Amino acid sequence: MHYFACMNLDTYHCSVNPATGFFEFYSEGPNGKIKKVVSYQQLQDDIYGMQRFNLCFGDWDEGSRCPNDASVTNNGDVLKVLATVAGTVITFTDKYPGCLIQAEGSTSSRTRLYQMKMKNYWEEIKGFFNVKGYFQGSWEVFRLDRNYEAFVVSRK
Amino acid sequence: MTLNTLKRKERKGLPKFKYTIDPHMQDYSKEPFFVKKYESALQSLATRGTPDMRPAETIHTSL
Repeated sequence: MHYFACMNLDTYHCSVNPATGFFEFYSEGPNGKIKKVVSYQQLQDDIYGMQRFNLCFGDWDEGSRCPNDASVTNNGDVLKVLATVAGTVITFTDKYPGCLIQAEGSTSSRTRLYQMKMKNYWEEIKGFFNVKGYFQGSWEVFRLDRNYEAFVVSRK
Repeated sequence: MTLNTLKRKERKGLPKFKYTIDPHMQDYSKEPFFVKKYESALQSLATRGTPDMRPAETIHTSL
């Protein structure tokens, strides 16, 4: 177990392939061991001198050999999974400190879930990251009282 | 400096996560799911654009 020390959260141990930028970890719970894959996809062209990446992750189904980000694993560990993904953001931005990472849930309810978790730990997050959210047609500095469609983060 | 003091100093900043480097991990980039996600991300970029995340002091405006 690895502790998100400043937020007192535990995370799963990750493997990473530096050549491809993929992270893997296993969620463990009542539904068994579920492989999760996290990807940082570099998007075309730097903007404002900053590389842009798209963050996406999902369950990897060994049977169908196909990821799925709309499934509900129901392993009772959503906080630990999200903390683990947050850990990969820290690890990734350690390596690419000047980059932008954009993220959006596969569904609007997923996006709201991510936002809810960000809100819970906002005091810690804002100390290390700049966060903007997309709301009604424009980007703005993240506010706790809005429901955003997507997010962009960068390290301070 | 005692071990406890060192540990307290570490916790003030972002934690360093331990992870295993696996050079043999499969490359998922050609999997249809990730290809589709990449295309969606490009579409999202085209629709929403990207916000300027630079620190304010680095943004120069011409008068």
